[in-house]
Amino acid sequence: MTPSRQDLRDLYDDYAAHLDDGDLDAWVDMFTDNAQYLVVARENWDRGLPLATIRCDGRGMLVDRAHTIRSTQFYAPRVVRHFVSGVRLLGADSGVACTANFLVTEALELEPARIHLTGQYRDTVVATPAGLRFARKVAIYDGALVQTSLVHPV
Amino acid sequence: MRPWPDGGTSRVPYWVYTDPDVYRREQERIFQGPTWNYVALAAEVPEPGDFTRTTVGEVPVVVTRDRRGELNAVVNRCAHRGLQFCVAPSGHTTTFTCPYHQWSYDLTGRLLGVPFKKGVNGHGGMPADFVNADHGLARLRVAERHGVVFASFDADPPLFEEYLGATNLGWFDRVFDGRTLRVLGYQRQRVPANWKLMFENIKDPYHASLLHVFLVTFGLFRADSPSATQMDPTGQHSVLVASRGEQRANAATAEMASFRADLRLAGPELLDVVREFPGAASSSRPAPAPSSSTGPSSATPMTTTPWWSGACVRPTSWDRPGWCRSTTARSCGWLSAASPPPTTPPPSWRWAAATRTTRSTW
Repeated sequence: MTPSRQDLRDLYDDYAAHLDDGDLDAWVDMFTDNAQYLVVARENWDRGLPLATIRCDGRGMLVDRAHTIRSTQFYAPRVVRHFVSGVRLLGADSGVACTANFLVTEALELEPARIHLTGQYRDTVVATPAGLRFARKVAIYDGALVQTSLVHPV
Repeated sequence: MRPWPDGGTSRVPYWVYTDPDVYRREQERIFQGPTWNYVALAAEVPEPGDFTRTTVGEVPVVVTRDRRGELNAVVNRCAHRGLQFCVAPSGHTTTFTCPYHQWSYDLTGRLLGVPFKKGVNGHGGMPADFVNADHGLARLRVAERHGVVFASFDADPPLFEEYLGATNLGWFDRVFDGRTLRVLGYQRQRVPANWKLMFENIKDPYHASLLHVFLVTFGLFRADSPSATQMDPTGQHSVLVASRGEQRANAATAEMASFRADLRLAGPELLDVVREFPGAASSSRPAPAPSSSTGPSSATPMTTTPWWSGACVRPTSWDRPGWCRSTTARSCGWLSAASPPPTTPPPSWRWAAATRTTRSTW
């Protein structure tokens, strides 16, 4: 069954909310067990080059990433906020192909907020008994540079 | 210049990282001096007409392969008004034309054409003695070794091999042994810090043993690993040589707050050892943690394969066409540059990533 536009909108809004809240367990749960999650520079994506800045194959790597962000990595505290717009449903084959724009702001403590990343999601969404889940999520960021650190998932 | 404080090199003052005058002189004497600077992999410009952009110090540079198949490095500033004529990060062309006044150059930097060179209706134009050959792009000297391209602003730089010296050349050849390289992608990062801090950070195993939980816990790099910083006799070059240890607690880890004997990966294939070139290493990793794991869990001690025998930590999934992890060639090269240089360059697994402005994401 093809999800409605409202279902997809809710999916992306939940996704953004979980990341903004720092609820990385809920973030992991938005993916299927075999999901692939990539954060890729547009430079590489456009040229068909395989290097990805973040690459998780399967739930295990997503779990590891959530865990390491929470308990093993050192980084300056920050507030991030994800703005997702222009959710488009491109077709349903093995899952639903969706694209959406993202804008991520970050505010380090005692600093003004700044734009951290902008780009496009190219996702595959599938219906599961638990609801819609991402079977694949590719976050392609514009520009080639990451400012200092990519701490949180996109 | 400020006086150096007492204490020799054991007392490095902070101003070496912040003084604008020091920075300016570094640009002149180091980056524009008799040094060889990495600018590209030959695999980035495989065909005549290919080009790629980079910088040497702060100077924008274009590396090209000309019609004869030779490598060139030219300053990306039009000889006329200094505009950066090449705006694409890479590509293929027969000539470069500056968009400002359409001066055009071939791929060696030779000036081909100047619009209105003789003026318009008898007015303006270049002087009668203007010769195109005198007004080409500034060129750098180029050296290539095993597919890695270096450039120098010096008019008469030392031979690259002599410059690097025997010890470091051995380490260089261990990673770049002549096998065909393939570009996997680019990872760029802008770090708001003085350039020297990045180099020094990589030669600072002290912090790695304390800050980087991942490296420490999995024995990828830590204070009790066999390691050394080797400096060549000239003091110009150094290499951090390290061998992988194990995930095992010992006297050294007792002082490492970041050591987590209980940390297990839910997706352990991240640590799969992949043979990159022939050697004695074989791939092994611990049994996968339960898929329900959401954090540290108990498991048997990790066994790891030493990579100094010729392996590099790289997921097996890299062997599948299409995907790879976010490690860069620079860091991977550093990781794998850990065994004595091989006596004969073996044929090998073929890959490399080109990278600029990188920092590992551990």
